Amino acid sequence: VKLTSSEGTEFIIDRKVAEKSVLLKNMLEDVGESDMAIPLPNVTGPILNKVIDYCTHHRDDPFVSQEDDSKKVSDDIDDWDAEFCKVDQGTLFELILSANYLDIKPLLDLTCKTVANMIKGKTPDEIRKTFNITNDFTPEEEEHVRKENEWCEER
Amino acid sequence: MALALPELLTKIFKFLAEDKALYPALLVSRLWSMCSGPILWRHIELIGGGNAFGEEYKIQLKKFIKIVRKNSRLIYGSSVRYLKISHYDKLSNKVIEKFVEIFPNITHLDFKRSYGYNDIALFKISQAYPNLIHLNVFNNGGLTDHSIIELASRCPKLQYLEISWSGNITDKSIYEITRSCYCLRHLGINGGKNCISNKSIHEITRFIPNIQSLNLNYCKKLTDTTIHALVSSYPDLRKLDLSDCNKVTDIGIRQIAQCRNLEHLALKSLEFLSDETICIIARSCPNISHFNLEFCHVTNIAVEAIAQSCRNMEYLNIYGSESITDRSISKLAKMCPKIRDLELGFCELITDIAIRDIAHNLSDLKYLGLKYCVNIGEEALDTLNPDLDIGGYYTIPSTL
Repeated sequence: VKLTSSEGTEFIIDRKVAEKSVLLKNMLEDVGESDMAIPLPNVTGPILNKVIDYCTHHRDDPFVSQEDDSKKVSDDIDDWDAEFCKVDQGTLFELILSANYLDIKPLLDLTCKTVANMIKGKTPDEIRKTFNITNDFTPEEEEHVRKENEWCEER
Repeated sequence: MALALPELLTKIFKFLAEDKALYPALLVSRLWSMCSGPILWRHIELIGGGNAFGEEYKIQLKKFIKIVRKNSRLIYGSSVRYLKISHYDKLSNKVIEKFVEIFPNITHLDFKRSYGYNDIALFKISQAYPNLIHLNVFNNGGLTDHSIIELASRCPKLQYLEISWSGNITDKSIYEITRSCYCLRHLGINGGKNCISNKSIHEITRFIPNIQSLNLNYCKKLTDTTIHALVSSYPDLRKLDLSDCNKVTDIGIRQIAQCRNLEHLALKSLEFLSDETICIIARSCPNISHFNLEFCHVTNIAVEAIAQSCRNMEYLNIYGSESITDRSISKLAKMCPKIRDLELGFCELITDIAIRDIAHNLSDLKYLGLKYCVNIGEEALDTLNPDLDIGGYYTIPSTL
């Protein structure tokens, strides 16, 4: 199967690896085998490279359905996956977007879990600093949210 | 950027919610608040009194009730689908009226062992939630047919209804329930003053096709013919509680063996149960994982049959089975490794041998009841997991 990234770089991968992506799987089923490259205008070359790495490593994993949310805990990441996610924030977010676009649930879960772990244990202020988010609450709004949700603190 | 998309943010937050670490996200920004609030409010479980649960639960519940009392609108009020407040003795009509006002989209309500409210609150609930799926008012004590009939007629989508010990409930309520709530999967209507009659049970079997779980504890009017009707109407029953139904006979109980997929069975205080009946049920229903035989005076023969057949046993209660010896308990420990909760109170012939086999084989055990097990020495208990909760054990000084 041939894929082209947003810059036009061509990648050739096994059909089995490509089918980790539900988007590509459906495309391949609709179109059938063809020499034409599938354009992926939303994914850059370096990111596509990472995604292919992931799909190749996990090529033999059983397929996880959309509904199966039993593994929600964020600390069950194996060593290879943890190493895979040791990238800068920009890359991590692009991976999330690509996994979402290509519909690769295990990769989306993994990357989201990684972000969840970056949030865990931080105060709101530390979270804002980590992800460079501006606090757009007015002081009154913030106080209001705090008051209504006080009881959730331990949840 | 990925963190600007609500859809992806929500996905990340669901992982955090699982780890109970979502709260700080609420205060980061408007967008983060918008995505985390609904997750935090969707499913609310709070516990009131009872020191067993700890002080922090009480404080949490207090804060929650205070916010509900003070406001007539809450930012995330419409997100609430599931609300459980159990073991709370100040759950007044007023508070429930506020719930109804602030949380318009509730489908699951669980007030198990909470009290302080009566028919007035249940009327409000019936009127506000036509899509109610799950209601538990176990042990309220103050309800009557009036509100239950109103509830049944207005909430036809109910799948789970537990009204055991909820007050003065008679066959009239059951009649209305059977005519309106035919989606029910669980029904709990145990006894109290006005015991449910055989006729009501026949109405249930006639009109409600998919019952999987029945709590008929303390229905002292039920007879063998009713049990027959139940097992032939619901061969796929998963949970059944017939504790204290002492008008039924041994032969009646034996018919339960026809429900081969049973997982939970409670037959507490049915003193007439024979070994043969328990053996037949154990052999026919190998999936039983929760079995309550408290005060049934079971023997080694029965316990060995259970050990032999019900390998998935997690909870077994044979409190008061005086004739039980090490033989059957050792066998149980070896054959049923998944047991988590074992009640052996007043099984006084048990000795250190059984305890050592329990210590060796039951690695998942969380609770072991040993009240008046006087032939067990303290040294044997030391072989058990130190985190194990041991109930009721005491030693009698040897000089006695």
